[in-house]
Amino acid sequence: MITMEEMSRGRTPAQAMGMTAEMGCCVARLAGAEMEAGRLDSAEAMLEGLAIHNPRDPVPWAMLSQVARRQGKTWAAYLCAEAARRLAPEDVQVRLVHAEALLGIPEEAARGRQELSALSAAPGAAGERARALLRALGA
Amino acid sequence: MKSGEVSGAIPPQVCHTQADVAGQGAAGGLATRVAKAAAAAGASKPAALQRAASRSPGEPVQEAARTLSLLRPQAARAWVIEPPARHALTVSGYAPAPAAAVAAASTGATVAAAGSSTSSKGEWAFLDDRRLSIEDKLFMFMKLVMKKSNDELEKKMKEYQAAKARGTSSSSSGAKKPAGGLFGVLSKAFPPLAALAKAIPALPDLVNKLATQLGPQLLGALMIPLGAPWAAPLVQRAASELLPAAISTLDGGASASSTASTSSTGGSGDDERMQLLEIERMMQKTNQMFATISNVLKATHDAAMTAVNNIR
Repeated sequence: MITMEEMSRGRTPAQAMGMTAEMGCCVARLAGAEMEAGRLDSAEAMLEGLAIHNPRDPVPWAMLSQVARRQGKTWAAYLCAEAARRLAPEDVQVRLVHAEALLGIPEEAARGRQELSALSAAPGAAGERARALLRALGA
Repeated sequence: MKSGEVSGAIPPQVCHTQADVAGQGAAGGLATRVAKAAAAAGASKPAALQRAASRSPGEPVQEAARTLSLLRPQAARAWVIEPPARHALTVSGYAPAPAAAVAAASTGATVAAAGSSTSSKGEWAFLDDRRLSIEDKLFMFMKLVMKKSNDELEKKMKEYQAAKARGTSSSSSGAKKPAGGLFGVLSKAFPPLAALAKAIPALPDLVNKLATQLGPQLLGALMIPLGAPWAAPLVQRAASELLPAAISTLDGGASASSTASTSSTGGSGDDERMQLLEIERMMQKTNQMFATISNVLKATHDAAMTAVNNIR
């Protein structure tokens, strides 16, 4: 059992329920597969549950941002990306999700481009996507 | 490598025969037939299919599902953030993994044979069972967590029933609903927000829009990574509008404080009731998450069974 006061002191429902990081990762991967298949509502339900169970895990926040962006909820995407960014400021994938969320907001688009430029040198799929996005943006 | 060429020494047709001769049974033959069908269809990953075909029997449905997943065109996939397994093990906020699993993750050593019961840990022992697939573990995990959640919820409901029978709960039907949605409540709790709203006219609309887009529980959880964990309960309560008593306190402090002073036991009863409602909502969210996972597993199973049934 966990109360809201315990949550505010740092204890998470995942800890109270004995949910391990492995299981969290498993649910996130399942949600990722749902996203790939285009079933965004299903992925959103899973990721919301995961984020509520452990708000300190950046992965569900970043994935929720992707889902929200695909659903056209730009501000929700930005907020979720911001949460993920604060939890994992150095993670390349999280930074890319954050940059993409920024691109969806006209006032923040310039900042998103800057972030993409910084990420374009990164190795792997994230760097590749950042370069592709920059090319598409005409940079 | 050309399409249809197999990297292994044994082509699928021969493998099929060998599996039958070796007495691998229906499962091995089935996997081989799936591989043959895929190879005939010009699959792009025959080596992986060959591996699927040459595996020992067991869980033919999952084997077929894995095989079919290889047939999906890779180029059509959208970019989705990849949850890094190693990273997830270091994220705080999760329950500690069983000792055996941690040791295996850190050293890379394989867990001992499934017959050993030294790593078993009560009802969670299935997590260490190497014979179970991840789908099986997920299903068993869901079942166990659902059972625990339901037990706790039932217990809380009984407590609520007992409290109600004692007549400690107070009526809140006359509570006033907050004006201006979530922002109205928050601005009453934090007066500087009202001043900020004057500078940024769109702020109330934005906050209220976010409340509807994200939902109260997610908004509450969002406060933790945003550096204000103390605000999580408040935001969640305000967003879900489940605390009419608290809202009425924010609306008019004098009347609320007089109510609290006249009946301290009634106040604690209200707290318990509101806490129960919050926990109920959390449990609903849990149930929703697991119901979704259950649906996904069922859909995967049905898809695999359809493929298996179509093999002649």
